[in-house]
Amino acid sequence: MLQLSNVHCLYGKIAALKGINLEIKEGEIVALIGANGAGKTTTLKAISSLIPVSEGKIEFLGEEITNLPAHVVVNNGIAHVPEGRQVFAELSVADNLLLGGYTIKDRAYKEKTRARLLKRFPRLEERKGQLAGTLSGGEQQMLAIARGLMSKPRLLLLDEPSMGLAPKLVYEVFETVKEINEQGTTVLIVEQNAHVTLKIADRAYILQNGEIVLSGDSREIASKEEVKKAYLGG
Amino acid sequence: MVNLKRNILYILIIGLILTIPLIIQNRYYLHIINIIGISIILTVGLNVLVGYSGKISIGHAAFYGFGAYASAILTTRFGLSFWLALPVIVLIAALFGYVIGKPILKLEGAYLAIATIGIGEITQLILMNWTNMTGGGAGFKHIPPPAIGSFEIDSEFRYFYLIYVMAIVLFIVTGWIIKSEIGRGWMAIRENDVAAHMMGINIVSEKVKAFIISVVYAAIAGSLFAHLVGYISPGSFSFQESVAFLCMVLAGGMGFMGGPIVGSVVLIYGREMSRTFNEYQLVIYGLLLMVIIIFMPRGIMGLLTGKTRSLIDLWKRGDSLGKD
Repeated sequence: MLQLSNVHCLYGKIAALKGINLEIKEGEIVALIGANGAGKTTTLKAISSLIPVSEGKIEFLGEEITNLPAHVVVNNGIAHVPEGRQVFAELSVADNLLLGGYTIKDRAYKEKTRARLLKRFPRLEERKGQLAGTLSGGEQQMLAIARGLMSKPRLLLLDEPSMGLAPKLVYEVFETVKEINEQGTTVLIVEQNAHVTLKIADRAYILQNGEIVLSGDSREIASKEEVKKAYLGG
Repeated sequence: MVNLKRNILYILIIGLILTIPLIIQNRYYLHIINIIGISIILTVGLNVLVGYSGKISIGHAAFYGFGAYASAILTTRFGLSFWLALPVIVLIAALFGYVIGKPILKLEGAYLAIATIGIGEITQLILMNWTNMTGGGAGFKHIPPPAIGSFEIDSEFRYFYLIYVMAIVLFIVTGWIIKSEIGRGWMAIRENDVAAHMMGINIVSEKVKAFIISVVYAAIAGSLFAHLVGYISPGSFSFQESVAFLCMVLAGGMGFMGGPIVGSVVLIYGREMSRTFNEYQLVIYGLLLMVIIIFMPRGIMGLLTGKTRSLIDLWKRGDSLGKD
């Protein structure tokens, strides 16, 4: 479904990605794991065209999407749930959701999707008139995910959904991700919390200094000694 | 039901507004009310840019001036009627908005503010120096009143209806746009442009749309102003005027539909009452801006609706700006 071939990205003169090769098949949950500054977020931003790719190619559903404008990428069916939630703080929960479906022109369809998502996330339903900035961290993360789902994406990019959340909420968020995947959305998830992520992911890539150093089946990866040492705390 | 009630309320308000000149017949007061109406048209547009899309402009007197001079020139030198000149001006203003907005809206914050000041100053220089077209510093005289057939709109009373019908129509149209997907997109850009980008909003083109609307409204206001007063000079479209319009939007309440109305009424009436302090107006506006930004960042409307949180509150709570 998504294929990155030899993707390079630069921040000024510094190479953040040095030739990433990555593949995601339809229906999978793929995890991208690495330490701070390894290039995880950069990879997601390259896919959704928020930063330019200096070399290499990104293909989605067989078509090249490298460096297309970001709004075109969303239209093609890739939604990006950003790091740190980034909800529209001074707008209501309901408006935040509608904005997630910004690229959908059919209003009735959009209303229906929103109603369905509000049912799916009852806590958002209760707070739909409230300003998004007044929600708790966990609720904001749920809102960010729901907002991402509004555009009916084929592929959902999740950037550190567990960041800054209490352990119980982390569990809840991952359960949600799993359910979303079971309902047919492919997921690429970036995480520092490798432990939980490897449990829900089908496959994983380990990123180090802008390069992929290891990839394969999640369970296999989780059992590797060097991974245990570096990312799973022994 | 709620909608019906609300519509009836709106119609009542509009009806009430339209009876103003029947009650207030003093020419001087009616003139101030007309100037307020013109200012409402301009600031409703400016509020789209500043209040909803979150981009500043301290140069909108330039587009106000463009509308005024363009209408004066088209109706005198080219013999067009006011009604024909207006759509021509709207089209040219929209084109200006696009050509100017596209490059300068890449700037943010203080840089954008300076660029818009630059546009204001360039316009001043053109108005001052293109003497054979604009009349230069001596101004442009004998601008004819608009007419429908032989019915001339030549009194403050008749002018009131021309201005306020336009203001009401533009206000309603703006309200629709704000409630639509476009308006929501602007607010998303204002709140968080990176996230807005991720939602698939084409940030550049949406910002340019907001800018075009603000420019077109300013030009319409300018055209009305020129015919109302009959004589215009570059001084009416100076930096001070740009600051005044921005103050009206800020004082009324950015991002509230009612903000520009409240701001225009309060500031223009205030200005008339303090004519004696004319030279100190920029000082007054400066102080006013500081007070508003510190104590009531969302203006009078913000205070009325209780949606305001001043910098002082944030500071007391140890919060930083813009973070929630």
